Amino acid sequence: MKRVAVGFLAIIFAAMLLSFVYVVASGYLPHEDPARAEGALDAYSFLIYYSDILNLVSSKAYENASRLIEQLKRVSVPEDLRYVIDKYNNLTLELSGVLDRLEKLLDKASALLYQYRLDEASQTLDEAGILISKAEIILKDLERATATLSERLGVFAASAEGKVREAYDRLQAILNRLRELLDGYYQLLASMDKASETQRQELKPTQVTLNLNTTKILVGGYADAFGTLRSNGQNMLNRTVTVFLDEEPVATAKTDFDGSYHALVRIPYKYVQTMTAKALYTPIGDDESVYLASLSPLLSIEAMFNKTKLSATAPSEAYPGLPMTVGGEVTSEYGVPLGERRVKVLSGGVLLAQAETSVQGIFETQTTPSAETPLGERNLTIVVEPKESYAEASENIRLNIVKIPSEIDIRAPLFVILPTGIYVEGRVNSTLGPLREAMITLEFGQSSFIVNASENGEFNATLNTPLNLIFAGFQELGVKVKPAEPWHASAQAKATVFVVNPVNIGLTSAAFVSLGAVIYTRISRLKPNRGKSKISDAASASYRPVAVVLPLRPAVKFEDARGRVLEAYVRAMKTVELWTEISTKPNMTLREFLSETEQKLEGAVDSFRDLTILAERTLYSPYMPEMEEVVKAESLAIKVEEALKVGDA
Amino acid sequence: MEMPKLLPVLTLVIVLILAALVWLYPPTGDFRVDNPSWNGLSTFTTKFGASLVESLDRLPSNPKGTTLIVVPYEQFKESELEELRDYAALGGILIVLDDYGYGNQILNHLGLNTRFSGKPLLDPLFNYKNKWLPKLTDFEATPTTNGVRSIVLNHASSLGNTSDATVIVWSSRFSFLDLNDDSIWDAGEPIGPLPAIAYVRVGEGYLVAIADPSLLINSMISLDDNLIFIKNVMEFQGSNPEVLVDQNHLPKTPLDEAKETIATVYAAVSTPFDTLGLITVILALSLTPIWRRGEKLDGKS
Repeated sequence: MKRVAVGFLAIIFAAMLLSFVYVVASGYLPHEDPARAEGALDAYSFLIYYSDILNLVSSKAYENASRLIEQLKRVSVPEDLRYVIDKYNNLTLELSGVLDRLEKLLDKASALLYQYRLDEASQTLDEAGILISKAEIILKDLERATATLSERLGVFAASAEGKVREAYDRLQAILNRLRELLDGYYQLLASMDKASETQRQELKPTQVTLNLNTTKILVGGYADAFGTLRSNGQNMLNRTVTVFLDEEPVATAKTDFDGSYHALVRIPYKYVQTMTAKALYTPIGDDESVYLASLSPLLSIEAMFNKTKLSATAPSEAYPGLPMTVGGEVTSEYGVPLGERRVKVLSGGVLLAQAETSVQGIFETQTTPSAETPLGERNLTIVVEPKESYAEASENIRLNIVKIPSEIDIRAPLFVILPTGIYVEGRVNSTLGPLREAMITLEFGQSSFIVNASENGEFNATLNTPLNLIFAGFQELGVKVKPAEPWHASAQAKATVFVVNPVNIGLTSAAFVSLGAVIYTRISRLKPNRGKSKISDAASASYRPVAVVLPLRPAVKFEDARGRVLEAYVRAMKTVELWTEISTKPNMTLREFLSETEQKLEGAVDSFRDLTILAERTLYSPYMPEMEEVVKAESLAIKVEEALKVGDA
Repeated sequence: MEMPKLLPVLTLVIVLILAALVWLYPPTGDFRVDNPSWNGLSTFTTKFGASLVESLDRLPSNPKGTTLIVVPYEQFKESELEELRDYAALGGILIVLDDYGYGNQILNHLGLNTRFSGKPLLDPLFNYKNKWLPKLTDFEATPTTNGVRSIVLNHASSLGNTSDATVIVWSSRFSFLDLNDDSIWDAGEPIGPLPAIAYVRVGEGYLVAIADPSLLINSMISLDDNLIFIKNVMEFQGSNPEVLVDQNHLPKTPLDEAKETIATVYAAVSTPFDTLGLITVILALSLTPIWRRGEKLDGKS
């Protein structure tokens, strides 16, 4: 029965714990454990995706194709397929990149050929030829990889009419298109080579020279550029020559009757040490299909400019949401104040503020770090923009974004007897004053309470304590403050409260008392049984009146006929003890007690002797007394009590 | 002791032990903040110092700088919807994470067009392990997606009618909405990109609709950039917000109900008179045998 009860309750408990997975009203599972989720790769989607990528490649949308491949790297694939798929992705990406560069080179070569710039075009076509060969190799690898990947994805095991096979066929078709594209590039390259060769044979070469009147000049200044344009030693009249500085066209000039040209070149405001100059003649108009283009040798120019000196000041600490001032002075390297210079204040590339210097070269501006600015150190960059011959100047200042510490003053009871509401009050402030409208979260045990601080930063609340297993002891009262202003830091404080829970103490004490009572009752009921057992064993061994320990009185169990005889004896024995003032001892037999007391028993001696014999027989033998003997025993006990006149007392 | 007397005592002892076990055993319910298992929110709660909201009428009166997380798996009362509306309108960030629950009740009450579709969003290609765990990589450039390259959802749904919202996360173009629950795409079923996460300005605050509450559970929060994304969304209006979680609209497991029952019983006996009464009854019942025995012995003597 016990086992059945325990088992039943255990089953209820287990069922209760295990039945935590539930389904929402719609019937869908809200989630599955991702760690135990089974992996599955969808071959159809995979092949379609590759088809889309290669389709973009064949349409020369290389950037989009590369973007899709990058996305594909985030797809989870089973480990056994990871290597093949990574390889496939890399090949696709590589092919896309090579074809993209090839396309650009061919475009460039085409433009150069159009301008009759054969030398540069030939160089570009050579580079394009290398790329086509590379693309050919990659495409072959990709075709082989497609076969391997399709096999691993189970394409060939799928039905010929199935969606997976359809996707595979589509991918193959796109690979064929890629091959056609590559063939197209081959043909284009060959035709360009042929055109280049034709031009070289049919057109007259030209030579252009370039000279500068100076090789060292201040930015914004002017330089004279001059030279000649000739073809096979003959001067070329009225042709346009373009002068370039660092690949940027800066001047054009017409050639004179002697083939010479002259141009005034303004040096741009580029604050670099050197620039490269070159002159270019491109045949146009009637010169097309007659002359080839020509490029002069490169010349170096040393650029000069004035340095700007910046001396900026900013606070070392700033607070989110609170303005701060940045100022400073801008001068030349010789200390001359520079007015009307634009100054920018940046952080992480973001413009925070800007100002203009006064005539004295002084500037000052205010900026407010946003409330969301992450805390910590960062660089504040102050930049003076370049102006004319004065170069840019900048200075980095370390700025620490911090929050102003908040302080909490809590007043809570030191001692609490549960159940009760705990009244807590306090005040929050900082060095700037009270924290108005700050959100205060009070936590005690598992309960929490949110309250807003008043205008003067004060707050109060009564916390109700939830179910608590504590008997008595210290518990922490946590207070968290979230200020309304972004420049104030959150803070937390703790107070200790001594809690006494009389409910738990009372219930536990009652439980212990009950347990004690149960144990006590059990022990007192068990003892007579043990006595009976011993007596029984002793009785079966021998009928001799040997020394046997008397049972302890509190443990005697008076039941049935045997019990009634013994009960009668115990009553008489108590009377005798009181009369004779001799107590039974643990090692004393009934007969020994009789012999010690009989001299003082006077008229009760016979009755007590008979009762002792009757009790001895009942106690030490398996014999069950008859009813007459029970009646006799009770009668003898009464006689003993009457004779000794104790029973009445 | 005889069996008839033993059984009540034994039952009482077992009930007390079970009550203690039930109380001490961690909750196992989905989305529970103190559930440390894979489906709980204990990691989220610890990482963001989230506090439980006892009821929606206890929301802060000045909700600026706070974020409220709601998983609406139970219906809302009209008064609760009003509380949510006030919360967002006064400057709070209300994040509603729903897939197959009652999120549309909130959206409808706020007068928004945006809706949770309530149907499974599956992605056979861009996923984590299988199509039920779609991986989202298409983000609008907003502060919520800073540093986020991909997030993973779990048995998610999607959003619809997002004309009045700003969609910040889309599913891939391989995803689809499984309207007929056969786990494969059929003609007529909407295909991606489908909006999965969007936000709407409500008064001074915002409502963020996320079509999958499982984004927050312990087993999902560390996958890909889920944690960064969650942090960004919560800091929509400022860093380190006070995070509040509503758990009153989640279905209760038998274990949750058992815990509640124990708490109710405890609360009932926590009043001084009830405690005294209970102690008296316990003592009376346990000491009666001793008292009777003493009385019997005295009577006989």
